[in-house]
Amino acid sequence: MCVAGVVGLAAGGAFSAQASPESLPALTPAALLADVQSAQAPGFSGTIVAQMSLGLPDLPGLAGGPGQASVTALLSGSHSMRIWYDGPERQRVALLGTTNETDLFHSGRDLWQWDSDGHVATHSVLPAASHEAPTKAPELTPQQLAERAIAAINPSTQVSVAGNRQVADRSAYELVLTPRDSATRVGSVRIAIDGSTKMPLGVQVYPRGSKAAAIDVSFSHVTFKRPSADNFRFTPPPGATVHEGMPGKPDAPNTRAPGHPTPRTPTPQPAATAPTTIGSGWTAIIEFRSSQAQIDKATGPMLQRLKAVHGAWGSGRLLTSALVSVLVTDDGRVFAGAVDPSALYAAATAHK
Amino acid sequence: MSRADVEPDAHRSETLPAPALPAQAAPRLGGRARFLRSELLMVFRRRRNLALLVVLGAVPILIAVAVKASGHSARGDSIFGGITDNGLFAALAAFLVVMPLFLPLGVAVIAGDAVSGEANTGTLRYLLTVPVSRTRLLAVKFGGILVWCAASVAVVAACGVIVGAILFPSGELTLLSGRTVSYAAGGYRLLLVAGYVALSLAMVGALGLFVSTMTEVPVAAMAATLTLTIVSEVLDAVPQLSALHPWLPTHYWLQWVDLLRDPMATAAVGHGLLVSSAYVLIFLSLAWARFSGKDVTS
Repeated sequence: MCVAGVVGLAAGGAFSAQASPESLPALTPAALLADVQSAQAPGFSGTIVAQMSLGLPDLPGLAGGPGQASVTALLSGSHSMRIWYDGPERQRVALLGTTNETDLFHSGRDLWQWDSDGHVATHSVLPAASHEAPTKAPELTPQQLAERAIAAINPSTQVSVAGNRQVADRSAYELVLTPRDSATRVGSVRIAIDGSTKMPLGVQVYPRGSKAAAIDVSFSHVTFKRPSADNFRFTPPPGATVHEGMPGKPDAPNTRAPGHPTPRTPTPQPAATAPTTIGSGWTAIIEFRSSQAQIDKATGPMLQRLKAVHGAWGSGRLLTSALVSVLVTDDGRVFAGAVDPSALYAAATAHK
Repeated sequence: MSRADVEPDAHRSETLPAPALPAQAAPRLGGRARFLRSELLMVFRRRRNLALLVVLGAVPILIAVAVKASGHSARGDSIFGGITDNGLFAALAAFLVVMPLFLPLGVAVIAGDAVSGEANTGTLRYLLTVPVSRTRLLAVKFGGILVWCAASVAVVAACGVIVGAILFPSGELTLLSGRTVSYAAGGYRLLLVAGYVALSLAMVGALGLFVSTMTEVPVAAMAATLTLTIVSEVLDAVPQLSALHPWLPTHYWLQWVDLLRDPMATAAVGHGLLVSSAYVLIFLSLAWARFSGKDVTS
């Protein structure tokens, strides 16, 4: 009986003993990539688990509370979301918090965002030309992450197909992208691609020299069947606060629930510039300038907790993690990239 | 059988299946049922245990009255905020409140007392003189604990539903996904939630039964059971131990929230049930291993 209990525990502990993956026919990276690009699942539904262990310090405003499902909270910890996909016209994404839920319903030109905290429904009508949901959440689906990673492939990257892997109980190819440039902190990007539908099932980003993924966005369960139309329908429930507008657009009225104050970006001041990219490929560094007042307003108290650094380029604060480094100089320049801090210092010196 | 002298509210003396009785020819099941009945009477007639049920029942009433008195201010939270829209949420909010401490406390008291209580009052050896196997005795004890789990959960749910229906509307229920279902469908989901909570508590019951076989001091068994449960909850709250979390018996305790989504998310709930049952099996086997070979001296 005890043995049965232990076995049951092993099965229940989310580490279910996996059957050895059935072997898939060997494919070259190029053939696999081509298959991925032509793959178009007519519809699917499933659960995606995003695990973020970027090693960022615990900063206020960065991580939502343990029970909060909001888009900004996705930057750290483990998050589950359910997704229903029925072509480009109809999607639904549900971010599952411990005791709450944030939903995005997209059907035709209608886009609804639902926050169970506060019972707030935000409706927007998408422009006829683009039916793309203007929200950040769906960009975290393995499909979109994989497309981005694949777009970045150029001579800077070594591409290979590793052994088969089991993802969401399906046999999957594993496409491994290894940066050739050792200056980047990215060790490898591993994309799991479903053996039969060739749809990306998961993306993992490993920092250099680390055996644990810093970013792991993978399906834990997936069904390749068109979800029923009922899944995409949404009518605000009685008693809900309904807003009309575009969620996430700076000119929209603040439609966030009171529980999630969004740091509102003040109107751009003359000192602020659009982000520029220094370098290219894996070692690209993003630079933008903003006025001191802006930085203080958005991240003041949080900045004080970071390590103070100084050098020939001036002085500022540095945030490092296994995967990314961010340098905020005292004169309001921000440099960020998947590189060592020394590369940021060099960029700061060169771009005074 | 001098138990009545030791403890006035004990009823075992009347109902124990004694071999000398003419009932010997009666089917075994009847004897077993009587054994369980006497155990249940002992549990549910103790004033301390009834007081525990009253405290549990008071929680949803307190929550509902507080929300009603404060007007409509609980909007920020999904489940507490739902109370003003639908009374069923009073029961659900109460589960959220009693799950971490009150419910396990009640179960720890009953389960910790199960064997060590009898040993402490000196009735255990009398129990063992009747020709009832120790395995069966343990099974009946655990049966009593399971009924207690179900009863304490039912008290919370029933008080929540009743006070919710009196103070708040009882029409359509808005699920966490922003969709509405009928009151009856909402009640069905509450029933599922209650069942899930009761099964999660069975883990505490099995743990308590195991600890109870190791001591003759009931308070020690109760405290140890509750402490171990809370240690698991504390470990679950430390993000650095996330690799350990899926193995913790309390990790999936709030997973019943998934039953309030539309459509219901059942994968994690299934995991939770599996983990709970696995721990129940482990602790029951440990209790059995410990108790069947135990040298009972009191």
